[in-house]
Amino acid sequence: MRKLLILILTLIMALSAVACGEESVQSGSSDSAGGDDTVHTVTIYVSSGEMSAKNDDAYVKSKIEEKFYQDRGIKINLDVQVYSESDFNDVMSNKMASNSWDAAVGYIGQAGIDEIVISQNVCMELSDMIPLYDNLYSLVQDELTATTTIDGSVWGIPSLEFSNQYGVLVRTDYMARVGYTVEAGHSDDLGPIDAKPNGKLKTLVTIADFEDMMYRMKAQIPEITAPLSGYPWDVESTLTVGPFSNSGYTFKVVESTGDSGAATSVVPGQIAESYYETICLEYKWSHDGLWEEECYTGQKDKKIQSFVNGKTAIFTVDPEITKLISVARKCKAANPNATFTILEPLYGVDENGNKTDKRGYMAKQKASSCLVINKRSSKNEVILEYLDWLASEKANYDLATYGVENEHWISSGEGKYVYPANKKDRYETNPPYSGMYGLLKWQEYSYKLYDHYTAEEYGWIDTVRNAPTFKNVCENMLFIGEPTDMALNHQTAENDFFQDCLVKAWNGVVDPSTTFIAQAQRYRTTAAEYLTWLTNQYNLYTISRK
Amino acid sequence: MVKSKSARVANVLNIAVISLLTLTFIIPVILILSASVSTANSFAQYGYTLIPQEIDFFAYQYVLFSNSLFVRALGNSIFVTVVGTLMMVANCALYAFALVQKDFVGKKLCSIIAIFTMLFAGGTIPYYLVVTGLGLENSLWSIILPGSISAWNILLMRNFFNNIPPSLTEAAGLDGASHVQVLVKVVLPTSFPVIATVILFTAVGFWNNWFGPLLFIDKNHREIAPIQSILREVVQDASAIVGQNTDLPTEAIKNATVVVATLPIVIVYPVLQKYFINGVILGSVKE
Amino acid sequence: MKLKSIIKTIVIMTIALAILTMTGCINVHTTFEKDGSGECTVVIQKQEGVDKSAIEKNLEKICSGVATQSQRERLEIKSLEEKGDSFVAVIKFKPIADTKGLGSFSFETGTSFGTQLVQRNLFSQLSKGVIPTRNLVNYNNSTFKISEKVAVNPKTTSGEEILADDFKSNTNAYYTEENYFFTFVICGIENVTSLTFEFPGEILVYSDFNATIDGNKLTVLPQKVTAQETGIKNGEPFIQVGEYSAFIGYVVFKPSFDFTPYIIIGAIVLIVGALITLGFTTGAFKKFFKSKTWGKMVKNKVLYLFVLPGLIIFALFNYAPMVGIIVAFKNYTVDGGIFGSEWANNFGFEHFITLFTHPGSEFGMILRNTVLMAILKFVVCFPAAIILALMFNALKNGFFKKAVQTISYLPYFVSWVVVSNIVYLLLTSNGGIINQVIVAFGGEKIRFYSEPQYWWGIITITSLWKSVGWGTIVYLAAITAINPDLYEAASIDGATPWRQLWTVTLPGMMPVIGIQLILNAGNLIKDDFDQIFSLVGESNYELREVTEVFSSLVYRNLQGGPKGFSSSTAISLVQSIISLGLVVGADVIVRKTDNPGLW
Repeated sequence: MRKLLILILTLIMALSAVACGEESVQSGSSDSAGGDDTVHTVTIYVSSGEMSAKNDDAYVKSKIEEKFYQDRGIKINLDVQVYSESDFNDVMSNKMASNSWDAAVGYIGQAGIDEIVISQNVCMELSDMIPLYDNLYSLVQDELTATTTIDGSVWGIPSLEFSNQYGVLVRTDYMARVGYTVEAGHSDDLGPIDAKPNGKLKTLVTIADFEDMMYRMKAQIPEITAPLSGYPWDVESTLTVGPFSNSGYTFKVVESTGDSGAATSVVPGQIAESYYETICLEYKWSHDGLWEEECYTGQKDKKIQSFVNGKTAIFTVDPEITKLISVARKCKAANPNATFTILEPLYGVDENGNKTDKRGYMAKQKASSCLVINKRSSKNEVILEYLDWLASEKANYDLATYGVENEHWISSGEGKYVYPANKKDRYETNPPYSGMYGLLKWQEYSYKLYDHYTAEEYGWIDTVRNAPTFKNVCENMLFIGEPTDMALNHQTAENDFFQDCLVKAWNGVVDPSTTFIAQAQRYRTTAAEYLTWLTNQYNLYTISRK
Repeated sequence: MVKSKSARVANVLNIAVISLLTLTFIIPVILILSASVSTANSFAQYGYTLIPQEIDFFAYQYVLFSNSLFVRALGNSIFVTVVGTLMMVANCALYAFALVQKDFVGKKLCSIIAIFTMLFAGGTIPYYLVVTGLGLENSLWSIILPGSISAWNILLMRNFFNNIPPSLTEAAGLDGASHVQVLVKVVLPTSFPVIATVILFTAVGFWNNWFGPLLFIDKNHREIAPIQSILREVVQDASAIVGQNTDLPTEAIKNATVVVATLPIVIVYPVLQKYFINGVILGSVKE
Repeated sequence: MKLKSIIKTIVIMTIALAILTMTGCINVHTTFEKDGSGECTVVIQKQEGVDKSAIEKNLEKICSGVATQSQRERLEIKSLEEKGDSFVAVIKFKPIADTKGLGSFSFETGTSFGTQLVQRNLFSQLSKGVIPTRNLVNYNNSTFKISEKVAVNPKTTSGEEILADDFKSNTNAYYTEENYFFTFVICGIENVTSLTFEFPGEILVYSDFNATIDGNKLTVLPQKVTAQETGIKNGEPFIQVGEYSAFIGYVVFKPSFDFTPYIIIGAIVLIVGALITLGFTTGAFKKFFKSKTWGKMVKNKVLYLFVLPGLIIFALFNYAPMVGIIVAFKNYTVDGGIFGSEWANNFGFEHFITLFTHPGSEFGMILRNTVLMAILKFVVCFPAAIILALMFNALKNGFFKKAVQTISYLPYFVSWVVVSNIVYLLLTSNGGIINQVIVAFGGEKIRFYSEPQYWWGIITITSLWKSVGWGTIVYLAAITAINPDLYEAASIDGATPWRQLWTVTLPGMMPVIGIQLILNAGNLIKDDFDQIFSLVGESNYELREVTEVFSSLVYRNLQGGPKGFSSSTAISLVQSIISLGLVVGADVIVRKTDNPGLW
């Protein structure tokens, strides 16, 4: 017994020596001494749902720092740490409390960096500093409004993503089975819903056609459980946004304007009168089995599974085009006879069923994420210098985002790259570099796709990039700083509205035509102060940007 | 001993019910195991099944080998679990022993101090500030030290110690012995059941802890991260990879992660089990 | 007669009109405390047609506008009285740095000021005539962009030469913890003819721009500047360029020595000293050191060493963080930290009052759900673990016994996330197993994820499945510790195994069962958020009436980042207090049954 104890103790001491030894090898994030050779360590926390550490990150980091030193004469140590979006909240709260961060990157939106960091009054105000960096300023100045509050203070540096990102993936073989096609010029009458088309063809043009097509699919194709798969916010940013000119429940909407052009009522999308048609349509689709079960609560993986198994025909879950293409490929692998396409935005219809010219997909806000700097950080100049360096030459940004040219990627044309031949298999399953040192997605500045798409798929990407878009009027407005008592009533009003109207409609259980008006009125009463505040904010933003 | 008929019937019933329960316990586990070796395609088509349709060990290969830190993380977890558990047992046994001595002035105060910690907590941010203030950031001690004592375990042990008959002290001829001798020679040997319980509870707690590493071990020091941290990242990464990689069997990877994370504990347990079954130890001391 | 009175009225009205067209005269005197809060005395000269209630209304408007801009109440009107030919209003305000709507202020220590680049550059910019107007949104929603260049230069009260650019370096001598920096940019508040700031300490440096010093007071006069105003009037937004009064400047002051902490320490020392002397004179100490208690303590001094490691760890990692509980009584911001954040309204109970009374927090429903769920789990799982332990115990030793015991622990290790996948398989209305069975028997599909009433059962059963095997461990250990002689004696007396169960086994387990009961009592108010979060997701609106528990509220509060820290701490504190009450209550009950209690 005693011997056993002694053995265990020795083992522990050995292990602890090892563990302690490991730590001391790593240098902390303090700067090394020395005059002009000071190494500036910059600690940046990044919130990302898509990025994760990869094997060659350290190698690329050293290359970046080397080139940065050659070009700008500053020694930088980029301490970039990537966390998932939910972890970021926990970690960032602690880092802010202990003041151990220099910069942070995250998305703007609900529970985004604007709510978590900017509203806490810990960010450095940048309106004086950014113009000092020419390259950076000329690159981002158009979108700076996204991080600027009413008083003209600039709190962060925006990203520049494409506004054309979304599409709708459809199984054209299923479409053909009910007589629909995306080719122009067909207009046969297909007969009753459950009648087989027998060679007749109709072009899919309007949202009325789309609904008709779904009814036919449900009736005639037994493999399909429900033709449409997508979350409400996805459906509202692709299918309904154009025809109803309504950006959906997640965006703020200007309901009415006064004589001078100022808004007299700005409300969250879900209670706007213009949303009524959309929610009624969604109810109808869900109630009649056209929209999948658990459209609001189901897990993304399961929705992808359903599509891959052929149980759904139209897929708009997280409808960014490259993701849609990967889902299409998965489906093709499981169903070799399946064929696909990406739809052009649908046209709307008026009361008489005639086609209107309202169409488009939701425009993604270019500045969907931003970088903020700690107001107590002494590294602000270094950070801005680094961003300026990225903005000065595309080669720098490409190095920081895609890796070392010719080692990690080889350019294969405008906006495309391939992997070096001998590493292709390895890199396809496990990409070498995460892209984390690029910090912000400046897609409009430099964007490269991995060149493994077929011509058909490139055509789809073009469809999306050229599709007409619908821009939300409240774009680039930071609605932060909501007073707390208003915030509580606002939250209560939202919870109640969701519970009693929206969710029940999306599940096809309660017809919103019976609940919407009363519930929206209740919302307006409970959150009246919030709505006034929101309208004022909108007007002040508009006028300060004239 | 002749067993009565009713006793035999009761026995059979007992075995039957237990078997049924065991089935409900084990079926989900089998589902997980089978999902961890399924290919992405077959999972997409059939979902969770008892017997995998197409077997592929890719998920295990991905979890174990594509991340070079795996073995190191395993070592870290073992270190944390062993050291932490030993410290826990030592601290709690000492504390509980003191609480049992009738001549310990301040006994009630000490037990209230312990119990209070079970009920009130300050929140993550103050806790984070204290631990980093002590300089424990990016060190495994930030996980070990705070978890090296628990009021729950102290109470458990105290209860057991209370029930040790004083006759045992006399039997060991320890009249007039010091506290240390009583502790080591009498109390500890007879408390193997409760010590084994505490070891098991504590070891599992340390092994499964991922929140501590999330707060205190940053991404540059991943070589000291324990296994749960690494595995959690693997799952998040696997779910996040989209766009290029179409074939990654995310569900299989998630399930393989679960298997790898819990296997060690599940293996260690039966070793300790004999301490729960043997009443022999108690009896032998009596002699 | 009538004519005279008519003429009189006309004359008075004319004079009144003349007076009305005169601009009003308002003098403001502000006294600061060290934390930047303070009191403001506003002297408003009387004007015809402007009576007390009109002034009161205006002040209320200002207060509510400031509250909206600053996100919470900042100003409090203490009094409004007539005094001679003017009205005097006394207004209390919370720390001015976080008060928005009257101007752009900062009020912080030198070290804090010096760590911020923007603040360090402020003096230099002002001296070059660049006036930063960030945070300059007034209570009436107006923002100002000052285009006029006015140079504001620093001056020391001791006559030293000082350059504004000196402040740009973070090694400037003024950036110490003892010095305080106060900066102000006010624009658009018309009719204020003078603004006086009084500081709790001597002024070291001040901005020599329309300003005079008198001891620890700085008096600033308004400056007419050209500025562009963007605002909302009668609901209509507008832009206009015009002349506005502005107050611009800064002060560096050193608070006079604050004796209060020393006074308190001195008082404590005196009292302790008095007690000690008392002890010596009455021989109380001698008595104590001779007493039995001291004897016991010395004899058992090694026991104090035994508890020392535990006490140290408790102190460091449990009690030190407990200090953080005060944020439940404050409005935590990252800037203020735990100690610097302001106290919440209603003597700090704002968050608790919101929790109990605000309809949105649905306290009643949350309480009901949490407690009912905990009771259900307790009533089902607590006896189940004991029963299962007894069942295991009744098995003959061998491979089967070992195997089933090990397997019964497996569910405990499976995380809730994985369990939720399997539960989904069973319950989903999209082809789940249970629904398939129901449909096969001719019934209608049940949408489990939309019907709250099933979830009482679902949560209880999943809890049972996951924890029952693990729960048997403690009881099995207790059973093992029962003296085997007791069983022998009982069977010699002719007791059947069943009888032995009741007379030997269960009584032997009683002490452990008692402790487990008490410890679990405290959990009646706690919930397993991990379970709920994994099974139903974070925002399942339809199941809310069953699944919304305390932790759901805490989680939602924390989702918005640090600003929810105060309210979530308050909620956890309420839970802890109720838990304490339950534990004490259970302890009393268990003691009454002659079993040992908790302490």
